[in-house]
Amino acid sequence: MRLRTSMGILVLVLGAVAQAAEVTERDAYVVKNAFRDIVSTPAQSTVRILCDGRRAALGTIVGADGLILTKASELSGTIGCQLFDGRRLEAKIVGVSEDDDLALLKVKADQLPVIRWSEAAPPPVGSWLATPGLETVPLSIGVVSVAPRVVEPRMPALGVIIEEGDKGPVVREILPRSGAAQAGLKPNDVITQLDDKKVTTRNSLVQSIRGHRPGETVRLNLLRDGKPLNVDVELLDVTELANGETFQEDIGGRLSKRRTGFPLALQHDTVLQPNQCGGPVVDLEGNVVGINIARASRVASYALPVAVVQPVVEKLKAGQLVAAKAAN
Amino acid sequence: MSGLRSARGTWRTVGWAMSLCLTLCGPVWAEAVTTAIESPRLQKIFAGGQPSSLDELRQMEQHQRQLCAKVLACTVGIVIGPSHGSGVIISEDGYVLTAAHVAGAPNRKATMILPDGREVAGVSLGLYRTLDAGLMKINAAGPWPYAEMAKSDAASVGQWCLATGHPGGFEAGRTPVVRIGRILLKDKFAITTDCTLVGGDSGGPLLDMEGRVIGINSRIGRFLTANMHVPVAAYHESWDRLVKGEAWGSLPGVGPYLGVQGEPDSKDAKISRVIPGSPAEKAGIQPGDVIVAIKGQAVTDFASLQTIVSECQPGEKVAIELVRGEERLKLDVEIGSREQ
Repeated sequence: MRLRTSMGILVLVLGAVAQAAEVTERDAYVVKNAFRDIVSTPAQSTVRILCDGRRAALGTIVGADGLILTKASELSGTIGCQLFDGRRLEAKIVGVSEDDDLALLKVKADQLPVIRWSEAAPPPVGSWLATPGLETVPLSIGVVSVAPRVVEPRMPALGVIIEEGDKGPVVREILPRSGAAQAGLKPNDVITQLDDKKVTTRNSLVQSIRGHRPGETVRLNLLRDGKPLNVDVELLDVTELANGETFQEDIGGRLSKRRTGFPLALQHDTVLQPNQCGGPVVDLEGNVVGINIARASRVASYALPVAVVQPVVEKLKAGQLVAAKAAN
Repeated sequence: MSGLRSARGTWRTVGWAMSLCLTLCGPVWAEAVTTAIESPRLQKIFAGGQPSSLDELRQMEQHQRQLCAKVLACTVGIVIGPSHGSGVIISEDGYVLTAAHVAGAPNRKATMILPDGREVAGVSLGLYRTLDAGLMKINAAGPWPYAEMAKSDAASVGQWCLATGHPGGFEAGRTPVVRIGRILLKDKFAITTDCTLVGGDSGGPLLDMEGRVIGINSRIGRFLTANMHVPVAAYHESWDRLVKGEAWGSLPGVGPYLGVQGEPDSKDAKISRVIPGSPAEKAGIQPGDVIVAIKGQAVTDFASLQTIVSECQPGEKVAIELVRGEERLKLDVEIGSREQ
């Protein structure tokens, strides 16, 4: 594929390249093995988060009495934690910080090994980073690509072109590869409600959508041929939808649903799966320099730096960030 | 050309740099950003070995940090027509290597964006399209910070390397994005690395671990290990033609192309439109035809048709089975390539 942003055409370069996955790669086992001593301690403070039994994210032990930090937007259903020692424990949500996409969980345990935060300035561009898993070699390795910066939130979109109608906003067109297309919206559907908010005009629909983030799913009440109908639609990033960016960016691996809108993010080139976010990322001293918060594109993973995470953890521990999601 | 690449710091260039510092009030370096690797052990690792201890990782890290601090200054964002890409300055008088598909055509006006956000005017020169090699030049005289071009045979499989560029186009407040990886494959047409690339990175440099340009970011495949760079040899071999602004060859690696459109909602692969001049039209496919098989593989809907075509090679002759009214037909089609 040509690497030009203005082009939406997918060109697959096929061939034997896929078979090159051998010892010459940066992420070869022999290279990751050199990081063994670095992750041996932080791996013991790394937790696998299970949602309805599915591997949903990683987590980080921040309190010896069973407090675990993770990526909030990956949580759903019944939550469990698998510890380094193999124990599986039920978890409850203590609080959520929506701005940073962090959640604090509580499991019934004591004397858990708490993560060691780095007290140094963020590592400069080119520095090694290791992401511990629940094993003795790191899950993945990489280098710092860009110094910490603000990652602006993106505008969410259903992926439909809307006209004003008598009974409410009417779907005129559906953009391909959008949440609306996936949910099966059809031209002439009338939108009457979004989640618990009544929708009467095009403007009220737009306002309701703007209260959400890309990656969130909303429930639409529709009238199709006069009959009521409910569909769940995933909101996507409006810029990516418009120029087909995700089409190219998700080649080579899935991306986190929530991947924009962070107060400060350190960008690194570690290859992560969405369910490998939420855990710690460490420097060559084995100190935590951040929490992996998103697989953001083919070329980027984001970590929230310690300077952002620590104050949020304190607020969460103090019970100052009890979100609606924490009710279960 | 040799004069462009051999210049290390002389008193004359230092003198220029100082006078420009006064007029532009910004740091201007007239030296190449090359960063020597001192330790023999480190040289051996970066040449194609692997680190085996924490101490070796520390040595690599220290060098990587020094290198990054210098090389980012030479990476530019390029805005040319509707397209956004990257480039790398390779001489103090402002020659910029990029990809041919970023430059598009010779003698086009371009804006080059330096890492600090400053914009300077530039122009596209020659294009060797077959290898996706493009040359541009900054209009202002410089001196500019630059990365030296490596020798043609400098890259080898297993060697460590560093790619930069502006993924998604230049973004204010974000420096050029660093990726470090290794060379996985190498031939006349491309160096393949595991430095992941995406749209906007095109034209940015692939550097050896001393900061010399060994390739230019060009294209990607489906896998994270399929990132292709134009070998620097393409620029060396054609330097004079590139400087003169010649354009020749045709772009490589363009995708397989049939030239039909279908209804997205349709339950089968019914063709709603045949693109004029396309391989499909030449083979006699008509609107209303329902394609049922390609190369003996069943086609159930338009999505499966797209998948099978995407796995063909341009130039490949394939049998397409279709239903037209009551008839079942078998047509031979030569798959085309998308950009022709």
